Amino acid sequence: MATAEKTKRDFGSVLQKQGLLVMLLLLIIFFRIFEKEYFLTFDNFITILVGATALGIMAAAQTPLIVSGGIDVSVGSVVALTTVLVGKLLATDMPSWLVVILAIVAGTSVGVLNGFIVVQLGVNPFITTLGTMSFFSGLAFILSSGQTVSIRDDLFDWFLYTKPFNIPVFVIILVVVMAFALFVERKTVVGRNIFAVGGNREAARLSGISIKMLPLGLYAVSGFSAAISGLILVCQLGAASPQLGTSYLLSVVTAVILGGTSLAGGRGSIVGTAMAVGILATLSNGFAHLQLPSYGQTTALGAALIIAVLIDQTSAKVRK
Amino acid sequence: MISNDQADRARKGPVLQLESVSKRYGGVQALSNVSISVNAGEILGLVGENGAGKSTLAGVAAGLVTPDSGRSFIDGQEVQITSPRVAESVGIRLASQELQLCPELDVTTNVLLGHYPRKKLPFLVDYDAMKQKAAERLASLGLEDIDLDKNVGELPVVYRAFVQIARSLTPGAKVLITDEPTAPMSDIEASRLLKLLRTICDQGVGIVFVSHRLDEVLNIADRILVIRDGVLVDEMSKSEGTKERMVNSMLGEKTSGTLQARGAHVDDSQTALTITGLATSNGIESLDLSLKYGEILGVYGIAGSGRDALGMTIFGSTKPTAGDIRVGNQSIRLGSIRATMETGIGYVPAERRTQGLLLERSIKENITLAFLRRLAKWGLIQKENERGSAQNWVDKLSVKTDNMDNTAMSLSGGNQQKVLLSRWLLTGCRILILDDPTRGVDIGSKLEIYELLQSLAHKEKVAVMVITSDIEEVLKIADRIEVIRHGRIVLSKATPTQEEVARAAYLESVSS
Repeated sequence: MATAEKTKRDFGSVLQKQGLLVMLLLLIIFFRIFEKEYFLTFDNFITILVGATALGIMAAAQTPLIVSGGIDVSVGSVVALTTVLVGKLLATDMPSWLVVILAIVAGTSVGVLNGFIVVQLGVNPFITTLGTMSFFSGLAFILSSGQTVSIRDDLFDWFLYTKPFNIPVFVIILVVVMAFALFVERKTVVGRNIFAVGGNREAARLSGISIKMLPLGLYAVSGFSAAISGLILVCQLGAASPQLGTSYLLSVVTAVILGGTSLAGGRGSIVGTAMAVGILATLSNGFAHLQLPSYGQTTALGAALIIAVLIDQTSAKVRK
Repeated sequence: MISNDQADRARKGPVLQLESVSKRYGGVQALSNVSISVNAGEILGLVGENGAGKSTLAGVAAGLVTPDSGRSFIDGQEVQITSPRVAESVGIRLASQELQLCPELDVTTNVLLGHYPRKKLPFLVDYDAMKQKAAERLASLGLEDIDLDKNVGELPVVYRAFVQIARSLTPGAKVLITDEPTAPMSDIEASRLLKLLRTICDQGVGIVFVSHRLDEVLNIADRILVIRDGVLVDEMSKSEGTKERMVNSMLGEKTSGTLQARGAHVDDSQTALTITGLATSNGIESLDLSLKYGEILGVYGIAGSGRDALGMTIFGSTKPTAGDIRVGNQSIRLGSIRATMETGIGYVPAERRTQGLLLERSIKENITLAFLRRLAKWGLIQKENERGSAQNWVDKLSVKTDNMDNTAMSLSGGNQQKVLLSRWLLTGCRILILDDPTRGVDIGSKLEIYELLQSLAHKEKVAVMVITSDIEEVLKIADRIEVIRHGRIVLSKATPTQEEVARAAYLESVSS
């Protein structure tokens, strides 16, 4: 009987992961049919990954946070704030390494603030980060007066133009971050505790797991990831703008949910998130090649999200 | 009250009759051939031990439980009470143990929930009429002092119970069934509730009053029924009723001492845990207790005795307001689970599914949860180490599974409990506290868990504390028994009889 249950459970999660893989393959076939020249080349593959860097890094940090029962929708505004800060500080002739450090400190601080409000003051995570999102997004606009500034800096240019073995540094960063997140999820005590806290908070607490420090740390990591993403975007675009983060407002959470992580906590995986990020990046790349309006992307994304969650719920029922 | 009144009541016929009701749950005969009748304007007290069948009987009358056989009559007419809806339509009202109110809505809305007066236009609720109706309902029960505009969530618990009762008394109510309404209340609050029940009863409603508190039953009931192991064993009128007679009937022949605690094996053993002057804000008042290595201490108490708070408090889940807990000679930091675990105390909570297990995770992960840090190097889980440790306990406690990677959900109740025991045994804890360790566990696994606890205590010399509301359980497995009532230890003895335990738990409590 136990074996039957096990098979069912496997079937559920396989369906979930296969579903994503099938979705990704269908997308590739679809775009290949309409764009025969360039879409299916190594160069374009790298282009897709470069485009996925910022989203992927933030989604890799968001996944354990949602698994633990939290959520951070403020990452988009932290990206905006970081880029604006970089623009402002570079204009003061501050050395660029110091600017990078300050930007990271600022982003991480927002994460710690989120964590403090949620964990210590007990405010609902969604509401907390919705509030800080609005707050810091506004702050980014005030600091920059809504202006976009272009950025020329040696350090930032180095990141943009260095390509060991013809692979951009960003892609290497993305792969390293994903691998690290996977490692934490599968091999470490912290990873296991994240699932325990999200799956059954009371049971985790009564087993001596800190149900405060762990989420606090995860919010800090989420803020940190947003700061890194902001820096990467400054490199890639050569510009700082308070509007940069707006597209990440929901796409990070969307990627995580699409990847099969349960909003209720306790269930999810980095592998799923990575595949979902792949789907999102391919979608936006393909739309650009076909010269379709970018709004169409948003529409396709919305449909994909609901279908993915439907698959998840159906497989959950199969499991029971 | 006035004798006239009572004569008057007796003249009224029975409103509700249940005839030869039987109900079986798996291997347990919850009710067998029980017949009761409730008269209009009468309060019928229903008492019995945990699991005697009181709640099942109340459930049958309210349409929540479908009996295997038996008939029911309202005003002499046979009815089939197949659902709560049918029960309501024939005039039966239930005010259950858990309050079923909407805390965010005001008193008016809660009292009339689902029965709002309408305006002539469709969909529009007539708020003025609503308020008036709610006020009338409360006034008829002598509850004018409840603020109609206040949200129910802001009311004290006793007022919430009043609102619940007012809500259940929609027009056409003939019988009101209350299941342990006073359990969460203090004596003063409870006495107000009893007064309210008397008011309702004087209006001609028949009341079935299910309670653990014998004083209250004696105080309020016109007639008392005692139920034991699903059988109606005694019936007494108010004048015949005494607490002694109720307790004797509840326990039956067991009082002759067929069951007796096992007696200590451990007179010379070291003291593991010493608790002095423990007090909490949720029911424990100045409690002293000690536990030795190598013994099973049974702590017995009825609902609301402070029993529920004890385990969690010792384990550091909630901070007590006063008191001292020592392991050996060392005082432990109160209110810290981590610090408590460091001293070698383990705790298995009462609610296996909501407080204990990660249902969707594997058996292995559930076993190693509390000890994972020690099975890791630099935060990295040592796979072989983890698997070996978990397998060791799966084998030792014979957890029935063919694969440790199966989810905890796939196990039966008894095996889930073994997983929780393994979690603590793996940590090498020397003091183990268990809340209701066999709740919802089948009889076979129950015996296995008992044997396990006994071998832990007597062979491995672990100090085991079993906190329970099951009187047979303490008598069966404990080497020593403490009885808790009103947040204090009222009996502490090596080999008490069942009668002594029950008397201490139920009797001589503060009369209202």
